[in-house]
Amino acid sequence: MNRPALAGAALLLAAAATPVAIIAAPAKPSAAAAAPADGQALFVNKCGYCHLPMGPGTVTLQRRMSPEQALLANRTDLTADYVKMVARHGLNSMPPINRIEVSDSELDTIARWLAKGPKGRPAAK
Amino acid sequence: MERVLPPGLSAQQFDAAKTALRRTLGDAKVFDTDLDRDTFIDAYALGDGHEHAMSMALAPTTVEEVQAVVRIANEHKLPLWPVSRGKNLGYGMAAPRLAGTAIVDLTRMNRILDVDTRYAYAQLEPGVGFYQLHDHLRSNRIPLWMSVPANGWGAVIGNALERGIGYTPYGDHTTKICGLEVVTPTGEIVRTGMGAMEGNKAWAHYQHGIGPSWDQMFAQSNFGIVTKANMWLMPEPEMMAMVQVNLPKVEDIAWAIDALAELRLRGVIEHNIIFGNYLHDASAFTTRADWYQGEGPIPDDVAEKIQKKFNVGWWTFHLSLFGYGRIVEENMKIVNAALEPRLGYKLDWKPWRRGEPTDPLGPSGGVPIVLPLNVVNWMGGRGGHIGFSPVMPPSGDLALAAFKKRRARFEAAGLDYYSSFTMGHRHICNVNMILYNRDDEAMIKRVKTLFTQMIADAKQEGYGEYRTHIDYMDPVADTYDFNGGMMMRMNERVKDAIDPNGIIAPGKNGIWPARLRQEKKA
Repeated sequence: MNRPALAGAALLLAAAATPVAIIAAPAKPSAAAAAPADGQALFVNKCGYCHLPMGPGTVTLQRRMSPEQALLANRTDLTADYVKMVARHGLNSMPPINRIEVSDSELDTIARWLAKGPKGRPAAK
Repeated sequence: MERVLPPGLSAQQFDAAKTALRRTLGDAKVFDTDLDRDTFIDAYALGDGHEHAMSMALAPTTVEEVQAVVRIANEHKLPLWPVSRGKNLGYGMAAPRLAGTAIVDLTRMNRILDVDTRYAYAQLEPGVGFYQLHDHLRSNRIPLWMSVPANGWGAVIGNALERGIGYTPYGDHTTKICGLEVVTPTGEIVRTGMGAMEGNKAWAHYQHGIGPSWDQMFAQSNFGIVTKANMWLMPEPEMMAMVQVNLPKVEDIAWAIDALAELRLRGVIEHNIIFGNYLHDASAFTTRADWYQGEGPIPDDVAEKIQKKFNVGWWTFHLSLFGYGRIVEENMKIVNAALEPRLGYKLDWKPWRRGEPTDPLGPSGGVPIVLPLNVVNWMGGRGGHIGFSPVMPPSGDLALAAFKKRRARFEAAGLDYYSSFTMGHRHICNVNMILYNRDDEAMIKRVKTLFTQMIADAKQEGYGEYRTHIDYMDPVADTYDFNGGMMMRMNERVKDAIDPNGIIAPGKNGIWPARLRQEKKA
């Protein structure tokens, strides 16, 4: 799933320029380069709506952590159980994600991938 | 949590239906745990949302499975609530009107069946999301543009069937449907328009057939489950030009709406214009507490700070022009002549030309985003939003009067006035967005009162809503009361004729089947 890295809201949200600029974009996960069932591809495909640069999850998390750590893929403190708990129960304004949208096995894969942290994964191709 | 069952079904009868569904669909497509039920509760509900809890969710992946589900539901009198991707945020999400209804979630029925580049249309299944179609068009270098709503998390077909809108010239999504395939409430397949003829080659080209046209019968209705639709797409323009316009004063709404209405009516501006107040951007990136800790409405001096920070006016709107370069250039001059004398400054158009990246265009150029979802954080806590959106003539004086009345209602309720006057071809949809904290019981009570007041106000002024939340479907439908509510009586007659067991989406937009009519809210 391709995601606009830094743009998107600029026209709908007139003042995007300032907030956008403070989000440092790490290497964007590439859906095309990943196998269909791997954690990265699933993360981008299922969670990317909100948790890539300029997603509402990223912008919200950025209020209480560094721009880099606000991107879930950069986090070093996530456990698989925590990821699964938040996905299924929601957190603050994040809606719960049901099992039709993200199956249990898909969520397992995503959670294990996130829990490895950026250093525990092979470099993105 | 206690089991939630539809009215009229015992636990034993419900389990018999579930067993039949499991046998037909397989266990992997039936979702009935407590967790499943909770994940389908409206995450923005006014309260705990349990009054709209589903009994189970079903995930058919083929039209044959949808037919099988409908047939089993008929045998067991099990009500079904079909959703495309279930992202009807602000309207109940995937949650059914009637507790105990089984959700038919078509998220996994998501094939892009055809994209015709030459004639600019796509044939889609209902689970196809805006991002999915956008990725498909882009990765295959297909020079067609979509139209996307402010929140692009949802499904192309679901949004069009709910009469959602976007911001390109193809933004009236429901009017871009050209032929549906529908599973009727008794389980047959019907195709509308030219699709009613076996082997017809013009299904996606012409919106009618012979005799009545039924596409709109399946929009915002409970008369069937749409399993396929042809959607028209926009050929990529040669050029686009965009401009942001800030209006410093509250009263500017009157002249600006009149000027924009003229440009819309004459086809100079061909897209739905979001004419919104200063909270739009602030609520996407900040929360109320960042600006003001007090009770009651935001004071004027704080409002000014917000406007300055986000480079917006009291009102702000964006205009886009699309098409051949020479036409866009000429239309810019027409817009300038219409607006600049009143604005007192030159419009600063941003051009885009074919070949340049489209990402920066966002929804104005049919690129999906979901960032606007962040508005729900505005009041703190677990946030939510609900919109009251009456349709009005595009008159500046009427808009100013409506604004004054609605803002007074918001302020009396101690809530921040967040509004847009979305300008269509010959109408305004005045979206009064209420942002709230779900964890604040007193606030939720005020929101409910405000919503009910606005329904009554608008009715008294002669306006009705274009779409509404599952909580308010009955009272809003009741405002459509010409000739003693003849439209609802006709809807009910149709419902009872084509859905004799009252299976599909009981209560959707106030339409109840005979056997469940007592469930209607007084």
